[in-house]
Amino acid sequence: MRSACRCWGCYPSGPEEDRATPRRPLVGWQGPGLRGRGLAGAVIAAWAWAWACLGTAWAEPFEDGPADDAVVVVAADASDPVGGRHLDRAAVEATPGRTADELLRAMPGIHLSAHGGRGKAYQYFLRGFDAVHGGDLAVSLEGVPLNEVSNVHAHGYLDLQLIPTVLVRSMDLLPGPARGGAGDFAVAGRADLGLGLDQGGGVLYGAVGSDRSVLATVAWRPEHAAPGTFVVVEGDVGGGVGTARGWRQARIGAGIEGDVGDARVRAWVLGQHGAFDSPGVLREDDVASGDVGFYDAYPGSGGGRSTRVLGAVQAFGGSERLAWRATAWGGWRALSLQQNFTGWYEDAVNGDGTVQDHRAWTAGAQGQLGWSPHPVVGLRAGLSARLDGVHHQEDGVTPDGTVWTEGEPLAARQADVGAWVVLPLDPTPWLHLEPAVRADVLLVDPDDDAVAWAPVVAPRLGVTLFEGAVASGHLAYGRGFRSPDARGASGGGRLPVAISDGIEAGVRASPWRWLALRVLGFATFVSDEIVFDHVAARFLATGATRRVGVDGGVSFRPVDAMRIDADLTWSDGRYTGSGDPIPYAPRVLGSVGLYVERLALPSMNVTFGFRTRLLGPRPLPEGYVAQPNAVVDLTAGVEIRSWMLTLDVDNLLATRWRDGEFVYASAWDPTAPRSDLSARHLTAGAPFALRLGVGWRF
Amino acid sequence: MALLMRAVQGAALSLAVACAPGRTVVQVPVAFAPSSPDVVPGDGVSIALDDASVTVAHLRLESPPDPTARWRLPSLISTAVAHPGHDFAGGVSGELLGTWTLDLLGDPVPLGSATLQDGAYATARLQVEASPVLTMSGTATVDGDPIPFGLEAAIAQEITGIPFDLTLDPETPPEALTLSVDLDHALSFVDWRTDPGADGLLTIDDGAVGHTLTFGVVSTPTWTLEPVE
Repeated sequence: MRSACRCWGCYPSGPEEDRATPRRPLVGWQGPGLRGRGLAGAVIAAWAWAWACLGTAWAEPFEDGPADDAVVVVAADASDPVGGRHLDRAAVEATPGRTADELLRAMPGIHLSAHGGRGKAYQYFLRGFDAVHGGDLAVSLEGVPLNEVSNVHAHGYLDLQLIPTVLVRSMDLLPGPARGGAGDFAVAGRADLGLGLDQGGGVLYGAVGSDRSVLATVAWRPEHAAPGTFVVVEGDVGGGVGTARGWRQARIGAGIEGDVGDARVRAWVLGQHGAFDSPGVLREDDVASGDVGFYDAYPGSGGGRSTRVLGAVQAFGGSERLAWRATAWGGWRALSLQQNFTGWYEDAVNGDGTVQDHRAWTAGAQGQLGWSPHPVVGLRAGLSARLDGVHHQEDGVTPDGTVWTEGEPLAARQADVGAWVVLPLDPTPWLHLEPAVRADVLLVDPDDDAVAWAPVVAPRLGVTLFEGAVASGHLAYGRGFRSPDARGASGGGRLPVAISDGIEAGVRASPWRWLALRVLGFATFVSDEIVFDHVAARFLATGATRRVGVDGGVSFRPVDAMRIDADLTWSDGRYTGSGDPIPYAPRVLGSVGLYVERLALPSMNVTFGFRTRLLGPRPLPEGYVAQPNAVVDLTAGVEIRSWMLTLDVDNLLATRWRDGEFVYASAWDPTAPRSDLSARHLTAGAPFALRLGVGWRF
Repeated sequence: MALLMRAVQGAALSLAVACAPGRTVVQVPVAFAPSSPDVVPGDGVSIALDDASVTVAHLRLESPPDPTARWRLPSLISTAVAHPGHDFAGGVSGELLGTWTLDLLGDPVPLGSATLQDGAYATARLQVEASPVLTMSGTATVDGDPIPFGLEAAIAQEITGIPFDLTLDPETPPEALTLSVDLDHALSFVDWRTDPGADGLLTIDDGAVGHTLTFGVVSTPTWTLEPVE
């Protein structure tokens, strides 16, 4: 149990804010109206409670296994890529990380940068990719896509604040080429999170942190009900260490799972509302001169508010040879982000601050089929359709939040209709082949413009040699793609699509039960690259790139409940045309961790995770190189009968590390002449903070 | 374990030392070299200047643009292209901030020390300020006939693309940079033969004088920036 108290009742409220009125200082931003929406919250909570009670009555006594087995049969990928990793709930609990986003750090070769405070999506770097806020990393929840198309802040925006960590039942972390039926945004890799409460009964959990944080979680799954039957309410409030780092988050979730005839059916809904400050960036020379502290922020650095609701209905079933799965989902999203990364560089009077407002809805459905007619040949196929509606606008604001210039709004609908086929072949006992192809049609329908479209055909191939042997060989080729941003659609006609062609070849070996090794080489070629452009202080597409690299890892498991993992990924990414290195993406990423997963000792269970993340130097524009870092995080928990004690420590060694560095021109003194010289800017990495928690199972 | 972690951290930081942290910065003095008061803009015209001054600000030195270019193979699937408009100007790699009212006929004057990063330079730009106004006065001799003139113009424009060819090695930086002005070129666009006011005195309001004078002053070849080795 790693999540903690997020009490709905004590969540502070504030008046709805008008765009035309000055916004309050972002420090201490308050959620827009949980008091005003208290009735709605109560209705949702009552509904969720009733839902769970219904689940108690409906669900048959659950025995873990059949449902998940069916899922495995119809999964888009039959065999994991050699660099992939699966974490079950016990492993998730042993993984340091306060939020679902941070749990993704368990993926080999990934780096997460938090330049937007606790509430904005992280910036993701994976295998030499600057995946921005998720544009090259596809993440799904029980198969439901979480990346937001044409989000005002970044296409593919990936915000996992919606998911209480207590509900993360499993994680499949799959870096590398797209395989099987992987869809939009699966350029550098992908991940799928399993949703559910792992243990029956109720949990009441609370924690306080040295970063002025309080968390509270109430979670309940009826005894004997399936993991998909749950109710979770969570509140998370904190001031953070330093300036402009406060946050408030409230999450609620409810799910129900049971059998209808021969099919397993589940439905779930998650809701989240949060407000947060954003410290933004600091100039390195200002920090060096002492004008600002390492954990300070410039005035008007920003913040945001985020609200999201996502729900799905899923059914799956079948027999040993024929299995199926169907999912329909829908969701709504509101996001408002205020930011200023350049001070008064562009506008010496009003400043360069902007506020981005985003409203969106999403709906979709997908069906998957798995068929094994013969030991040599099989079939997996699927259909998917996704429809999104977005409305967003970006306005200029003064540091106090007053809008002084309004931008052009964008309203559009975006669709992705796709189909895929995978033909698993086992011509010999030592050879497994997985040719696959996915085809999509992408549509963008702006309100004030003609419909634009784009086709994508993505072939894939997976080859496994001597699967299940002491050593197995793996070869994969896959084409991934990133749908076009609606902002780029004008005039109708064909749209550009960013595509990536990736190959990897590697070996996985397990000479003994307690030791597993992997090593692989990879190369990826991308038709287009998104980077942070210091001229416009935003992300721009800049051209074709290629990456080559090596990934390796060792997993040592002396006993079942304990493992020591070491991962190291080296990648070299460059622009195809110029040969220049791709800025910002780390060349070397590594981690070393000791994990104890619910180790059963006399009268207690112990969970422990101690991980060091190594972030190598990153190439920056104009010949700069970012500092490397080593950061140690820890999580620990002891469960004695009905009681739990937990400890989470961020940055155990209290390192002043930089999780992001950027090079561009900025001006933070509006009275001084504007310098156009590029300067190094940094975002402070998570400071030392510890959180103590107590939980009680009932 | 903590010791082990500190050792790992130390190794990582050692790696940092081995890496170039960024571009080296040097300070190079910049001076303005005035023009001769005797100007020959051509077309049989000669000019004797009594007074010439202009106010300029913020000398910025730019790197060459990124020459990246690619051939694209035909494809069934369209590929995205870079955002237009960001590939033409190189980034600013050096600058001298300040505002100076230059006596274009006086003695050489130091402007200050510019901050330059190592690497290649191709162009410079300079802002012409509207206040104090640009002034030019003197006598133009056209086909032997003297025509006195007194011009004042409030120009607020940027002079862009001033050639500045330098590859800066921090070990051997130039001794100085010299900014100079070519008044022959600056005044060559004015129609000295026509006096629409017919009052014997050419002013900024006479015909196109205002436009042609402005064009000449902000014209790229009017200004030169050169390193002094």
